[in-house]
Amino acid sequence: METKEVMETKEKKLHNGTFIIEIQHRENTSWQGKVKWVDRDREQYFRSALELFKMIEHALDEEEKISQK
Amino acid sequence: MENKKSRINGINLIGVLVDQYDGKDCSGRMVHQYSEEEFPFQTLMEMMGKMEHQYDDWDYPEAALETRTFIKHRKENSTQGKWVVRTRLPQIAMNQTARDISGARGKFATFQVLVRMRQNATWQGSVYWVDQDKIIDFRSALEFARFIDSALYEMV
Repeated sequence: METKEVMETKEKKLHNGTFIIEIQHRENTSWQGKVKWVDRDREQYFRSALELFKMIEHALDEEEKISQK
Repeated sequence: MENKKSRINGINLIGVLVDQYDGKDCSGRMVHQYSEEEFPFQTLMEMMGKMEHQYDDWDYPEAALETRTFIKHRKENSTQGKWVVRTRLPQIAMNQTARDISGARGKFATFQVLVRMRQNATWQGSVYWVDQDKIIDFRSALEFARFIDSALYEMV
C-alpha cells in the first residue's frame, strides 16, 4: 500500500505543464501558429507540428529539472 | 556496400521495426547502418523524437532552420563560443562500411525511412513500407506520422 506522500509525488509528475495551442495556418502539409506555455506565461510561434512538439518537450524537460531541484 | 534489397537508400536510412500496435500507438526498435545498436521506442512520438535527435547528432540532413524554444537562457551543451566539430554522418559513412539493415524486421510491421531534407522546420523524404512493398513520399513530419498510423491501422 503506497503512502499518501508517494501517491502525491506520482500525481505531481503526471502534471508537467499546460499549453494553449492556436493553429493559425496549415501550410507545407503541417501546422503553423502560436503556443502559450501557461505555467510560465510565455508564448512562441511554431512553423511546423514537429517544431511544436519539440518546443513542448523542451519546456517539459525544463519543468522537470526545476521540480527536481 | 549498397543495401541490395532496399527500395530506397541513403546514408541516413533508418529502419523502424514496429513490434507492437494496439490500435492507438506503437512500440518497437529503430536501427541504422552505422551502429549495431537497436534503439527502442514506446510510442510513435518517442520514435519521431529519437529520429530527430539522431539527425541533429549526425547534423544530417542539415536543418535549414534552428528550432525555436521557450527557453531563453543558454543551452546546457553550450560551446561557449568555441568552434565544435559535430560528428557529421558523411564523415562517418566515409570511414565505416554501412551495414545492411534491409533484412531487419519488426514483429508487427517494418518501415525504412529516408528523410532527405529538413526544411520549414520539418521533414521531407520517403518511407518504404516493407510489408506492402510500397514507397510513400512525405512533405512534413506530420504527414509521415499520419501515414505510419494509417499503415499500422490497416495491418490490424
